[in-house]
Amino acid sequence: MSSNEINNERIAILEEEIKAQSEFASMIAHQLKTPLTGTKWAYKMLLDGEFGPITLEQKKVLNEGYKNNERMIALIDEMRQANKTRTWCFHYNMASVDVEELIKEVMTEFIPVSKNKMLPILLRTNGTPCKINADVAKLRIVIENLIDNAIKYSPEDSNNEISISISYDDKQTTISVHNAGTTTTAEENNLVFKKSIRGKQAKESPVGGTGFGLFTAHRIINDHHGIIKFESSEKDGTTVTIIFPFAQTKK
Amino acid sequence: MTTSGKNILIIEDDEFLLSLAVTKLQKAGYDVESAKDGEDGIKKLAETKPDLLILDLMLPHIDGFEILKQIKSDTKFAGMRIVVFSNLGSDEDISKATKLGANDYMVKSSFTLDELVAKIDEHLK
Repeated sequence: MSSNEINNERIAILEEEIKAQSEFASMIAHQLKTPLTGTKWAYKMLLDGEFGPITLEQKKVLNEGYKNNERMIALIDEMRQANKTRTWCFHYNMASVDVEELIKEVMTEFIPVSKNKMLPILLRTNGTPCKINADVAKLRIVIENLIDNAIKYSPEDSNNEISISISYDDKQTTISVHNAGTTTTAEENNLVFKKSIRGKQAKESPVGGTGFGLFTAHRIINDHHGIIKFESSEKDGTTVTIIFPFAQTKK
Repeated sequence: MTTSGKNILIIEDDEFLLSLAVTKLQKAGYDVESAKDGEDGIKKLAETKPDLLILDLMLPHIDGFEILKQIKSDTKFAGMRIVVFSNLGSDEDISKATKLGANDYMVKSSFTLDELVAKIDEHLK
């Protein structure tokens, strides 16, 4: 077989692999979207009063659920598209974002689950508040991922809490999310931002996960020219820190 | 618009989605038959000869593309409107379904059931 023929054969094998991967991603997207579609339709019908009248408070909760569900559908579509083009590039709509406001909104979403787990979420701020230039929808995905992970992987203990801090100074805005406990080894701490990587303890725990959360967060923060760090140990717990080192405007 | 006398067959394998869609379509005034897999779908197509078919693509036993092929090759379904309603949404899927005779293609997660009803109203007016 000539070297040209060998190369052609390799290219054909690679193309087959890419096609198989793309079909697999399409299948996963389809399977993920089916329950989200059911949620979307059910929330909409409930909101429209098709199953009977609802209170204002119920409407507010359903509206939040509906919006979150729409964001998940959009994220799956975007990830599917990114996987198809093999670029893993998102499109960004940059604007001035009030990080503290955004984090408070996301914290509200997690109130029911944090109450359920008796795990308070506390926010501390330090410095003069500033706005940052970011895509608010993508940044929300990152914050949601971090808080969701912090809640999921916190050991059950009445003394625990999720601690979020925002620190502003002249050069950067730093956000950190901390929880007690760890699900990674020291070696795994360097790998958590890779696609589909979950810590050994996380995989062994009953908590579901895909390994895409931190991968996505890493990609989004990188695309914002920010820095994201993951530190975790049995003694100090787990802290994910995000630094936005670019120009800010006073609130 | 009046929807009386118009009958719709929906082939959808997810029971929850199916129950919501049937509820919505019945409230809109349509006579609705349903099937949860491709085999049963083909049987009910022959039995009910619907004015419009709402067709999912990923189905057990016989998939939606195969159902489209069978419909295309059978003259007794000439004139029946077909709306593909699937969470598959690649250009290839849409092109394939359209070539096989689908009159419309809606990606389920992108639409509410109100929008589905509006689309059906358009097709059956």
